Amino acid sequence: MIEIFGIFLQFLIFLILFTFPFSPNVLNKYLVKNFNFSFIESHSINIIFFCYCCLLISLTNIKLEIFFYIYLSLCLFFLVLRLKEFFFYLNKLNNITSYLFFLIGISLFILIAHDLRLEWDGHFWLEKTLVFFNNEPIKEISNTKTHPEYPHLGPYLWAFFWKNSLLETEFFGRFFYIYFYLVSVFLMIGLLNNKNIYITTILIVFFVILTFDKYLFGGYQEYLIFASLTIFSRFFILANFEKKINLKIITLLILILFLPSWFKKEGLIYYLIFSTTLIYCLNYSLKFKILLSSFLIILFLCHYLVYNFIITNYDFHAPLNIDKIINYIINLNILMERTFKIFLHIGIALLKYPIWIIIIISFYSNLLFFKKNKAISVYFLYCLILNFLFLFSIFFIFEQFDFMLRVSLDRLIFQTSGFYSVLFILLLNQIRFKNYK
Amino acid sequence: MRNYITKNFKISLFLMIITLSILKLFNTSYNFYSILNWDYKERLKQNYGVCGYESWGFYEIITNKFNLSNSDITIINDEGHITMENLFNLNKNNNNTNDHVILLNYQSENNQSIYDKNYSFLKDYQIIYRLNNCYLLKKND
Repeated sequence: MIEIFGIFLQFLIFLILFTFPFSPNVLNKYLVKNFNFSFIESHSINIIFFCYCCLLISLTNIKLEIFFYIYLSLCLFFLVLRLKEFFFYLNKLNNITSYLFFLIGISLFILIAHDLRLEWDGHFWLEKTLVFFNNEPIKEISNTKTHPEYPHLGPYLWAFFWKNSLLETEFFGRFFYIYFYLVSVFLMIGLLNNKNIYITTILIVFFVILTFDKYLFGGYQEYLIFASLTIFSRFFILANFEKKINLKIITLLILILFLPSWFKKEGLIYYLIFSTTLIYCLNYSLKFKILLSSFLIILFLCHYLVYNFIITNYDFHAPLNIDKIINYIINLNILMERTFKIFLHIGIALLKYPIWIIIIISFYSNLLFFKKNKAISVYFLYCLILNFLFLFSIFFIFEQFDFMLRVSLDRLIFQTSGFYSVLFILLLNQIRFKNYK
Repeated sequence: MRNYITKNFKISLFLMIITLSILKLFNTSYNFYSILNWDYKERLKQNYGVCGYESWGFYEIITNKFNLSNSDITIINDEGHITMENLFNLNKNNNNTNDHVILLNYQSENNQSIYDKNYSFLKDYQIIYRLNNCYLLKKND
């Protein structure tokens, strides 16, 4: 019974922790004026803020418990201070959507608590998690036996909630991954213009069915990237391409995109691809675009400096052998065989995650039939092309080519599915608009 | 008033169907029952096996019975599952000259013993604990 109580308590702790520091009111005032931020929108921005706080604290070797108590105290203090405002926004929440959030959240928590096995890569990530759980210095990350070069923020978050749970059991740490994922799904569905509760509810359940994969909650970091990119695409819609965009929003978008680079290596590539495309598509002067590009480079340098000088490990997954790569390209047989196999496995992965079928239909419809969404769709199309080029090139040069295709291509394809799913919601908004016409 | 009741009835019915669907989809009722009935360690055994799959139960038995925390250990899972040294804070180091060897899910035919097949280096070790096809071996003095 104590475990069940712990699960409910963990849900409550997440709710409290992520109401701090930005309330919808604060965001309306300082981020985008004349835009009504909802509770879930401020909640998602607070999670991003929390992740960055964790990133900074992880470098300082402050004990997890101390950080937790300070952060929780601040949350409670601000909650009491803004109690009136908090209840105002709580009353504005849709009861049924909140109920659904609670029901799905608790159901998934209980599912993981029952089926608590860590899958294959989960054991590698666990090694890093244990470094933080045992309050060892961050440099110990580079001494882990398996993939010491992998980023550390995911394991830090895992260790943080593991250490600061009621029973201090491992699976409590992974609840954060579920919560982050759920917030991103609800946030995306919130973009739907149609506020009919039946449609919204069915759509939420539909999206959860399409994007939930229990295997990936077995210690993998995929959902952290999925959720970050989904949150990005939701706030990206705020940026109207035809007008000059609010600089605060652009900064927020770039910071959201930068977050996955601390979860997994490929997150850094997504950051570079999606943020440079974002700047390219913006309706700003060249001078300003160069300034924004400098900001991207500074962030990239920060990433490099942290891994090179604080964690002292900045390696790639496998060393590049240029001679072999040239040989693969020159040899027509190898080139054809590898190309065919990559496309085949991409096809298999798209079928494994049927959300991609919806994404492809949405792309097609938005680009061809709905001109209103064209600017946004074009941005996502550029990203998609670069994304698949990246996947193709990275898998093409792998030494263990067949093995990597079988065990990791599907996960890489899944990571970005939330990013493109927003097109489906935009499509639904257009269809409804057309019907009423 | 009638409209209000009809509308609420519709929503309540809809919510009930959605709730039951979600509970069924994620098997929540059974999972809830399972958590109430079996504690954390029991569920770990159910998920990882005692001597089968990752053999979590075997690790638990030998780490409780023997002091393995200070020695380098070779860990082999003959069925190909991942080894769990991280969960038990063991120093895995597969160099065949360690003090201890943990051999899990040994795959054998007929009367074949662990000394007959594949792992020739095991001839320098003696069995100090065995559970079904899982072995803890210690290097001969």
